[in-house]
Amino acid sequence: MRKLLFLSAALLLSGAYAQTASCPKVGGTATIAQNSEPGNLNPLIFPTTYDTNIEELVFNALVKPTADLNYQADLAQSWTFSADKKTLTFKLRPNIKWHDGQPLTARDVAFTLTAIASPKYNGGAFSQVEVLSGADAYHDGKATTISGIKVIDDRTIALSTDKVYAPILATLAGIMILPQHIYGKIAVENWQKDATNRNPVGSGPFKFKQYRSGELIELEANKAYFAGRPCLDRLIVRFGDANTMLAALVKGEVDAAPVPVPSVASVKDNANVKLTVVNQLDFDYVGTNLRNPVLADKAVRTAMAYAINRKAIVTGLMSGYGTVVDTIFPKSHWAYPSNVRPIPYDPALAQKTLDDAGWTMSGGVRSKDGKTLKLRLFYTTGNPVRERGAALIQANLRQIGIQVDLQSMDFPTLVTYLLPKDGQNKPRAVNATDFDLFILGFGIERDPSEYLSYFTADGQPPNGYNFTGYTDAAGGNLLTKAQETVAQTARKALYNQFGLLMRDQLPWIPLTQAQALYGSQTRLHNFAPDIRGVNVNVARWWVQ
Amino acid sequence: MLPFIARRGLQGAVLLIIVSFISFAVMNLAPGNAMQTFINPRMSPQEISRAETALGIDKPVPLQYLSWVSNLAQGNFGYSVRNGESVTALLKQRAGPTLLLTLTSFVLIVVLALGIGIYSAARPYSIIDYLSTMLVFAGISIPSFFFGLSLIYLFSVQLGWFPTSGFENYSADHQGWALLFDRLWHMVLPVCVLTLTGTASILRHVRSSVSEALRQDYVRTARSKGVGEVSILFKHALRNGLIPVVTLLGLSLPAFFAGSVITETIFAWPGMGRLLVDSVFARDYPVSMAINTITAVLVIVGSLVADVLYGLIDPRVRLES
Repeated sequence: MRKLLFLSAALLLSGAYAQTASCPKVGGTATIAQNSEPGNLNPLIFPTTYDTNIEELVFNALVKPTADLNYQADLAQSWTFSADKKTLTFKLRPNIKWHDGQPLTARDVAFTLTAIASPKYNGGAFSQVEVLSGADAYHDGKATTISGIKVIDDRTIALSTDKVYAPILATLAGIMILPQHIYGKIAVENWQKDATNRNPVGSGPFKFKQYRSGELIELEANKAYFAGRPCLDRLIVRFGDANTMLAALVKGEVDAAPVPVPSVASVKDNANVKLTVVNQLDFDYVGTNLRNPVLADKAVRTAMAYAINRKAIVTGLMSGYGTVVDTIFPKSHWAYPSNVRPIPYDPALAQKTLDDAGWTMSGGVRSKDGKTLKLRLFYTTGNPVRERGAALIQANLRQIGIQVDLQSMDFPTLVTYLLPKDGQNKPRAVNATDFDLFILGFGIERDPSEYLSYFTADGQPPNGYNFTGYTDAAGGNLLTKAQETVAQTARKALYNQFGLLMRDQLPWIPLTQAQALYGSQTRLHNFAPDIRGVNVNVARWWVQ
Repeated sequence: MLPFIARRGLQGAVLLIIVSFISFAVMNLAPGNAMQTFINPRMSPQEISRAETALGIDKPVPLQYLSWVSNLAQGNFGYSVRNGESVTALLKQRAGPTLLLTLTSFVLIVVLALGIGIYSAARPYSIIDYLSTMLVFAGISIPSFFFGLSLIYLFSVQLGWFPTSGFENYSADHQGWALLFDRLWHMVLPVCVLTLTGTASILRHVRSSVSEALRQDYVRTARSKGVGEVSILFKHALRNGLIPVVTLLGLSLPAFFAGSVITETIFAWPGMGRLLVDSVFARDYPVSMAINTITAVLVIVGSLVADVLYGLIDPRVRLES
């Protein structure tokens, strides 16, 4: 008995020590700002970045990404692949509780995955579970359960796929688990309108407290959190215009806020504000419509890539907070091929490339076989780098005899050109005249398997996001093979090869990769956003 | 008077139907829809189509309009596409802060515009008159986003007198009087912006309209009969001079509810104006339609109120109607 007491005292002490070690101070409130209000807080209904930033504080997934984009335990304590790599068995941590005190079990996991596959679900996440065996049959109403989901006991669940699907951990890292005892009572077709969207009950480090439309979301520490209580007692997320929130940061009304690049000086000069510069997985590119015979000529795309002064975009428009990108992977991604040949800025080489391909200059515009190099470039408004970058690209291309008409529009409008609809409002295939060139950003996920939708013949709209119409089988084969290869080194080699191919063929002309800038008050400690997002280590934030 | 009001009410109802259909059609004919703002690589295009069907935004515009009207007839503005909340509930949350902001500045605008305007008209070329002209120039020519950001920079960031933004100090746990005082403190800068811009346009009209009235023959007659200046101003000139101003004030009624889009956005004020901006960018048509409709109703009611007030101030108008 005495031994037992001694042991528990030691455990208590070590627990207390662990807490003081990671939290120099426990308690207090931190206020952070984001520039847009989240839509709803059900992570399975059309999540946007602004939603996810908050949902990640309230909910958990089975696994979560590490800083180097590997996977670590979240709700799952461990996971094992079967010998044929088609079944993945998760063991949940013991004694996990929802914020309302109910136990979280493997049944909640099964419920969440099954709900997304329901024929009545329309929140946009079905394609994530489609790969599970029997999910399609369930989705089409031909089965009453999903054969690929097996709850073994309260803490164990096995998920099977019909064929080897390497990105399954990445997929599951993106699906936050919902409580069956709450969402199970709401018909899945009504999820989008349900009040739980503004009053979520999760299992994460913070409990939801209140949502004030147009103002804030207030969260309080989950003191019983399985990975240790957060240092803060309370976290407030405010929403407001970028300039206003920056002023609030400088004045000390909020503890952390994104910093727009043009305003970076006001943060640098302020002794109370610390600037954090973070690499991101997003990059901008010029997309080409390969159905247009002019753009189908690789020489034209290559010449454009050589003629665009991407370095000038980084130094001139991004104040140096970014870098040029030479293929369709950002440098901070594991799939980036380090041996990629940089795309040079070389207008003379661009001219020569066009000359060699038979495009002759006349009156400042090149033409060949009756086709002239006159193109429309669509770009989205609201992003100063893209808006001014478009003008720079126009000037760069004019120099080599390509005349570009600029057309700016908001994102939903651009989408109507990229994913066109017919007269009956039904999605149709893209044709050669829908668009020529467009500038967009791409935030690549932790796993590049999504490129299957962007660079294969099957992925062309209306079946996927292959706007450019890239149909080379070589690229598609690499992507398909990578999706079926579980060993990480082999996958990396395949994606590297794909990156090199894209550098050569240029259906997307890669432009630049911006860094994210955050300012934080010096009273807020451990604020360390990284490639995964701004709130990644929120449980370790503490305030003085 | 009653038949007049009834006739105008009927005209207003017809106008409202036309306005709501046009704004509904314009919004829906603009390329792109709410779903397209959600597009992300983890969602397949088929899922987008499915969601569009579920939301009913894939139907032809006249059908969508009919279903919108039939919902509205049951007092239902529908649900926000963006967050699934009922639009009525959303408007209820946002109306209070907007009313607080706009009513406060409206009272200030009326007091300042009438006071300064009448004084400048009665005492042209006085110092107050010159100052008021400057105020008018400033209020009309400075864009409110610039003025708002300048106030934030000067009075919040540099001097630290006022909070930069928001409805209250969120990290403090205020209750009762402390909360009231805190909110008033947060109102000062946005009210300044709304008051300056609002005063400028009305002050201009008050001044020109009253000085026009002061030049009329009947004023000269009254003066030659030995009526005192104060009596001339308040009994004779103001009665005629303020009639156009009443129309202006009546037409500014919608702003009470719809809020000031720019000022609310800059000061992160949780009102209707900012809600409108957010919903327009998100293509959240149920929300923007609701705000547009309410605004249209208020414009119609506002002009009716102005006409009725006309009748009360000027009996000739009543006779003509």
